[in-house]
Amino acid sequence: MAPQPKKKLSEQSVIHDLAKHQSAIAEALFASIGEGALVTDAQGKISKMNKIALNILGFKGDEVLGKWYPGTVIAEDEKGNVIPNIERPITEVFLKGKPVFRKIFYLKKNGQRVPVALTASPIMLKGKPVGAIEVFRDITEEVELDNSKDEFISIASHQLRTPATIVKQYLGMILEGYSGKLTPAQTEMLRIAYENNEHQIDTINDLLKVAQADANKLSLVREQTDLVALLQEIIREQKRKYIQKDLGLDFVHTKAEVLALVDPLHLRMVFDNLLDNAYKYSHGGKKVTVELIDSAQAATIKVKDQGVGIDAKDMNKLFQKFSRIANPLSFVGGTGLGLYWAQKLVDLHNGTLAAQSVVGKGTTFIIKIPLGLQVP
Amino acid sequence: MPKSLKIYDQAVRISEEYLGPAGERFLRRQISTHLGIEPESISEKDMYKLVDWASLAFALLTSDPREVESFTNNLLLLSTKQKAQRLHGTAA
Repeated sequence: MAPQPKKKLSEQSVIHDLAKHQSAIAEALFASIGEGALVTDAQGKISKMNKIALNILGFKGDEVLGKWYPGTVIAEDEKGNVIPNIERPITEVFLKGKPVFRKIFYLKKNGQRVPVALTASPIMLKGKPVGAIEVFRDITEEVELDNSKDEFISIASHQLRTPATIVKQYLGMILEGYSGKLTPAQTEMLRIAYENNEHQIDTINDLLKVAQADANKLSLVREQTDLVALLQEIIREQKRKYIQKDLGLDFVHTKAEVLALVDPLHLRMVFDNLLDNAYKYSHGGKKVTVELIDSAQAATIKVKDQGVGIDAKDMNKLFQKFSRIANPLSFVGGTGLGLYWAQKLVDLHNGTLAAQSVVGKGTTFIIKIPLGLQVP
Repeated sequence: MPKSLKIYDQAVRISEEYLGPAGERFLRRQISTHLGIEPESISEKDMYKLVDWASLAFALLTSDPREVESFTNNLLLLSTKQKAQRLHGTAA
């Protein structure tokens, strides 16, 4: 009988020490993670806040611990409007039952706004929520970098494009004889200058478009669009140059109308790009076929040419920036950004763009776009 | 009228008392997300789990702990009321 109580005590003591050990690890982890962290309890009060969080928000520990969280740390949106409590990430966690990620602004103790990226998650104990944890970091530098990118895009669009456009105008006027008759040699030189300037303008425009897309500044303006009508219009516009090169251009579709919620302006750029490529990389006497196939959820558009084709080893470079793949017709002009841009635009539509090719036989580009008619 | 619908209606009334017109939407989200059932089909046995989540969300909407307690208790009471009605055969 005597040994038993001692054994029980020792078990209790082991369990107690283990619990203390685990608690010490948790405390150390909480204190040393590289981002701000805070914990709220079942009453929405701040039960823990680490040093980084206190520094970001400009508080001292005793100013926040035990205080009601939404009233202590005020959240604002981009426009400076206070975010209602029901829309705050930490509340959303209990509405969604899962982690929530958001970028918002917090008001520091001194009233200054600080942009943060945060993740909020419920704390669960034996399947029951007992509080929430929020981990956040100060993203001021990232926001400033974004703003710098915007500035660059704005400056570049004026300072690079404007002089090039002016040069184009004046070269054009000289070539049309506005400054007097030109010798054949002068005409030839000016024509080369004009074409290269055009190429420069195209490059600037492409670079600016891509910079905008990379900075996630590009947004779609979706509207209900008939893809059949859109493709018919694009093909009609491209047909003249195709005929001049003795290239066939056919459009195959089974339905008279296929409606989709897309940005017609940007989708047009995708199709124009693919048809331009098919034109450039096909010899005369060949044919390009555009095929539209629709299902209940998505439309598939194939642009199939009988052109020079792409080597299998180059396929992985096809959609990369500044990628120019060597082929018999690679003397034709281009910025190497067209397909990168096209893929970005298709991605924005939550679609896919892929290619299949055989050297000497031709290439097929396949775009799949969700019809998106049920807007969430 | 089915018993379970009665519980839902009563829960909505309580939620709206504390949250106003947004109360029903708040309740419906809690039920759909955490119970995974059609809100109208909520029964007495679901109330405890509902309250586990709804009380924490509500605690972030009001700084008054007494209001949170009152909201929680009123929801839980629906479960015991319903049970009592069933046991004593007084349910509609």
